[in-house]
Parts: sequence; C-alpha cells; structure tokens
Amino acid sequence: MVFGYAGKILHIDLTTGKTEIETPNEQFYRKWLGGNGFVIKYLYDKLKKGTDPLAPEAVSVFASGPLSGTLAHGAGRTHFGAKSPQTGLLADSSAGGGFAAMLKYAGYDAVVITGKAAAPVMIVINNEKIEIREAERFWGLKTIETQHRLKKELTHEYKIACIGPAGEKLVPMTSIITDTRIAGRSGNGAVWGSKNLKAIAIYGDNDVKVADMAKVKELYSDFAKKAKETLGGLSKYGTTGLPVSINAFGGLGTKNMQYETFEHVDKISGELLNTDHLIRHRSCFSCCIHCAKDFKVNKWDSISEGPEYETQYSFGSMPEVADLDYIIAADRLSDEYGLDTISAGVTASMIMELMERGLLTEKDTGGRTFKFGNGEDLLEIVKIIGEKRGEFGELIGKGTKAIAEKLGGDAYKYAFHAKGLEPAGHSPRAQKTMSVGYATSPRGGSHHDARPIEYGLPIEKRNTIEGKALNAFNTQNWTCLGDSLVICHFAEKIFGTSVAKVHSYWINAVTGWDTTLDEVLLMAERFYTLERLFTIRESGKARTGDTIPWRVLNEPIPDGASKGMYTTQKEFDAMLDEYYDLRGWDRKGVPTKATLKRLGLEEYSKN
Amino acid sequence: MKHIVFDQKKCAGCNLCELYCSSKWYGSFNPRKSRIKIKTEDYVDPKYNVCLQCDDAPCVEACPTEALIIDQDLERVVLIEDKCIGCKLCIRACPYDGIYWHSEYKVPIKCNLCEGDPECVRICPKDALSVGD
Repeated sequence: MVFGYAGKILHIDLTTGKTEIETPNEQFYRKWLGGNGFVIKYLYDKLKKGTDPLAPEAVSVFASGPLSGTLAHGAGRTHFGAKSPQTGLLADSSAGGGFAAMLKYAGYDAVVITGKAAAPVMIVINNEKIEIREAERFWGLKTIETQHRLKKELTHEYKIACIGPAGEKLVPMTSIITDTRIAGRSGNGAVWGSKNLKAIAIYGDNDVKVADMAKVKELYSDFAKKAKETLGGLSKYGTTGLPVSINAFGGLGTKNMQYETFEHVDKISGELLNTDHLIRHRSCFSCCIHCAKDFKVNKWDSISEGPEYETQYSFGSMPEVADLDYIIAADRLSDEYGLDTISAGVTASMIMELMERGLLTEKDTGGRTFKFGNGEDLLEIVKIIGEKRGEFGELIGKGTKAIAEKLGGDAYKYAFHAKGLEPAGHSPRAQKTMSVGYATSPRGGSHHDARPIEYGLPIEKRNTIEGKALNAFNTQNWTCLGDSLVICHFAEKIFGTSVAKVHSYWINAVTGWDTTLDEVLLMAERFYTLERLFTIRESGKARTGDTIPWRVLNEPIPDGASKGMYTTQKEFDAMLDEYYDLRGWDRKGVPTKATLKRLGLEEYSKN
Repeated sequence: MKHIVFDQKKCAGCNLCELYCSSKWYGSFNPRKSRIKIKTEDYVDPKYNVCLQCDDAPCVEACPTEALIIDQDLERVVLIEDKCIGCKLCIRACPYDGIYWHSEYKVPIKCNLCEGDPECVRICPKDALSVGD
C-alpha cells in the first residue's frame, strides 16, 4: 500500500458491462501522481490515434490525486478527461465539490471508462460493489433533479456526477456536474452522453491513510492561518469581485472583445451580488475559504450557485447584459442543461456581433434576432444550445470556431477562440502571458493552464514580451501539478503561481516519499509534454496549431487602462520560440528526443 | 448538558470537522468514522447530526449492559467501550441520529466532546460549531 492512495484503478467497459481492477505499483504512482497525470497517461495509452471523441472506443477518465480526501486545500476536486468533441484535442477539466474524495473513500484512485451501453445507464459504486444500472428514467432530466432523485433512491450520502440533457444530445460544449460544481470546459459531458452514461454515484467508507498525520495537520494549519489573514475577499465575494477590478485594469472582455471595459460593470459587480442576491456561502469539500455562493434572481423565483467571475464575463460584459437576474438565471440554466458557461456566453456574444454586422441573418437563426445587451436573447441562446434546437442549435453548440467555418468570409475575425475553445475572461491583449498561454494550452482558451498573473502591473511592464513565455511555462507547470494532486488553484494565492517546495512537502507528508522540488517539477513537465504529444497525435499540428484569436493579433484595445495593447505577430512568434525552448520542444513545437528522455517519456518517442 | 451546537447559517459545508474528528479518534481521514456529520445539499442550508448529550438520554435507557451512562461530573453521556457488546440498540434509540456504526469497529461511534476540548469546534473555519446547552 502506498500512503495517500487507495491503490486501485477501476476500469469499466460499458459495452460488455465488465469491470476490472488494476493495482498499480508504487513506481507508477510516483511517476504519474494522480489527477491530470493519470488522465493524460490513460488517455494517451488507451485511446487509439484518430478515434472519434464520441465513438464507443473513446475513453473517459476521472481521477483523484494523492491529496484527495485529506485536509489539503480543496481536496475533494475531481479531474475529468477525454478527447474533446469540441476541439478534437484534450478535454480536461476539473470540478470542485467532493466527488473524488468519495471515490478514494470507496477505494479507487481513478476510473477509466470505455465502450457504450446499449441503453441509458448509471454506474453505482458502493465500496467494492460496482453496478451498472439502467437509467432510462433519468434520461432527459436536468442535472439538479437527476442528483436529487438519485440521492433519494440511494441515500444522501452518495456523491454524484452526472450530465444534463445537452450532454445526452452530444452538444460539444457540455459539462459534467457534481453537486453544483462543474467540470465545464471542452466537452466531457457529451463523451458520457455518447456512452449512454447519465450518472455515476459513489459511496465509500474506507480510510485515507497518510504517512505523517502531524505534518499534514501542520501544513493545513499553516495554510488555514494564511488564508484567514489574506483571503477574506475571496471568502466574502468569491471571484465575483473581479469584474470591477479587471475593468479598471482594462482587460474585461466586452461586446465580444470589441472593448475591454464595460460601462455598466457596476450592474454586474460582486458588490451588487453580495448586497442584493446573496443567499449563502458554500464550500467545496475540505476547503476553509468557501468562495462559492448561492445567489437568487430577484425578478422571478430562481437561484443558482454562481455566477463566478468567468460567467459574469461570458454572460455579462461579453454580451453586454447588464442585469444580474439574467446572468444568474442563465448560469443556473447552463448548469441544468450541463453546458460550459464560458463557451456558451462567448458564442452568444459572437452571434450578437455577427447579427449586428449582417454576417448572420434571421434566415440562419430560424427567424430570431439576437442583440447585445438583451438578457432574454442570452437566455434564448442558452436554451437553443442546451436543447440542440434545429440546425442553428446544432451549429452553435460547437462554438465560435465552427460558426466561423460554416459562415466563411470575415466571420473568423469575430470568433474568439484558441484551438476551438473560447478563452476565459483574462485578456490575452492586456496580458501577453495569456497570449502565449492560451496558444500553448493543450485544451485551447484555458485559464487553468497558464494563469493570468499580470494583474496589478503597470502597462509598461505588460506591453513587453519579456518574461511572458516564462510566466506561461511556470504557471502551466503549477496548474498541471495542482490538477494532479488534486487541489484548488486558489492555493496559488498563498503558495504562489509556480511549482514550489511546499507542494513536495504535501506530497511527502501524505505519501511518505522524499520528493524534492526538482522531482515534482519534472512530474508537471512530464504530464504537460505528454499532453503535447497527444495534441500533436490527434491534430497533426504542433506550432501551426498554437494560435490565438484574430482580434488579439490585429485589433489594439480601443479603450480603458490597457488602451493600445495587442500582440503583434512578431511578438507572438518570439514568445512561442522562447516558450518552446523552455519546454525543450523544437521550434516547430515538437518535444525533442532529449526532452522525452529527460522526462521519462522514452516509451513515447517513437510515436 | 453541554453539547456541540451548530449554526447552520454560518456553516458552508466544508466537512473539515469530519476530517479532524476521524483523524483524532481513528487516525485516518474518513468522514464515515466521524462522530459529527454535516449533511450538505444543493440550495439549502447544511444540517448536522451529533450526540446531543441528552439529560434523559434514550440511548442510556436502551443500553442493556450499562455501557452508556450519564456522567454528572463530566456532564456528558459516556460510552464505556469495555462494557459495550455492539448490539446497536443505542443507535436505534437515538432520536437525533447522533450515534453511528462503522463495520471496522465493535463499538459505536459517538461524540464525547473530545474530553472537553472539541476538535471540531477548534478547527471550524466559519465558527459554526460551539459548545453550549
């Protein structure tokens, strides 16, 4: 037994209904760690090159990490992964809550799912008992009702992850939801849908044993003390305080990135959410910060856990909807259908701009006009995507890249995406770290690979490429490690945005190993480079696939404190060169043989 | 008698109390071995269950071996593990669902207020737990 781990990986073939238990050795755990590491290892090995993401042979993985189920910060988080139906690349996304902690209490470190059930099913795991049960009666239900009904059947002690109607209908921009926490990005929901898998319910009553309990408690106490001293804002507002500060910084994507300040930002602010909409604070499993909030709609009867910052951006400033009631309602509706709010909101904003410019007409939309600033139009778009309504619904559920390809002409200029995934609300024009960061993220426009760390810097420091590739490299390594442990990225507000010694302290206290900073850094680089090999294998592209949206390279920010900023092609190319050098990839963006050897990935060098 | 008091308006549902409780008494992280239970559900306030150290404790009445007694000096319901035969009658008798069972042990899991300095109260990040009447 390795301390911190359950010691078992569960493999389920939904075609045959067979399950298999793998018991990896310690070497495996120390090489692949957990979470993100497990996800890319199993995806790369089990999914054959070129597999259709929605084919029965496609692979869906979710994993805990060595810290899951302990006192580590946000140690209930789950890392999900598959080949993305939205981008054709890696779909990895993690969700808060407590699902992976329960997975470990049930006795498993990860679950690898292949095949396709003949009819809708759910997987019910009660410690060593694993059942595939029919779930016809849940098919078509929205996510919250699905979980409530399932808990009634199974007892409330189960933790559940499920998909909504959008995932069932194979809408690409779909999420997996557990409680009210979402693994939103890049389409894991549709992969479950393609397997006829509605839900997974887990109950476990096994121990998570750690090597050095006193040290674990010391590490937690230190974190909790610092969190109390410094993260009061996060506890009070969650991330909802960000629109106002990011607006002042001049990087709040507005009107589909035509602007980067929003004149009605005070109408979507955290302050207003806090005074007029807050019902209660919510916490993920094993987290002392409780950044999540339940908010209520005031004009009609509805509540939602969220929105958080990204959704204030995607459903607020981007479509210019200056009304929190509509933002809260669209957030809840997206959760219920099982959609990614970032992709849905950015796509809605693109539709509004295309209609304004006459590039999309009522003939394309089925007779409906969509306008910036209109909350009803936003809700309607969410419904059209969530229900996959008609040809238009089918198209827009794929996101901005697919819309641009379908329309042709100038439409691509208004498609805000990297590698087919819509970026989060951290401007790649106002922070060049995010230009190179989005471009080199394996999943595309991800704010959970590279991190936006230029907030607070004066424009002179931001309007240079110096150090930006290094920022992307360092922050990607940290998030990759964090997603493997699996802990919450908000730990970075205390431990910093690079891989640090404290991460090895946590690993050592839990597992009893003697890892060093060098070793854990190598792990992060290993996983990230294997993700790169996956990207190259599935897309056939390396450097040519590392792109950022047209606007970032061609339209300077016209307003606000970051006015004039954008990334020139020359700057972008130079940052990519520097970035590849840091990673040990050649200038075409391909990992070199020497790098693969350094990272212990020799076995992958022939592919 | 004094017992753990819960303020559901303060609790955010982090379950850290369960982790600390199980690690203190059973040496591992396992919410199913916690003597206090926090039930979290979507869109409602959390609820809790724990032994309320009743003055007229039904568990004491139900216990056939006097393994559960009211200790007036300590002001709590005490479980004498040596006397317990694991019949689970106390669990059935408790109207508050405050006593639990885990298959690994031969005696129930019940709060004893950590002999006076409850771990859950000490570590609750929201000050939602306290000792009171």
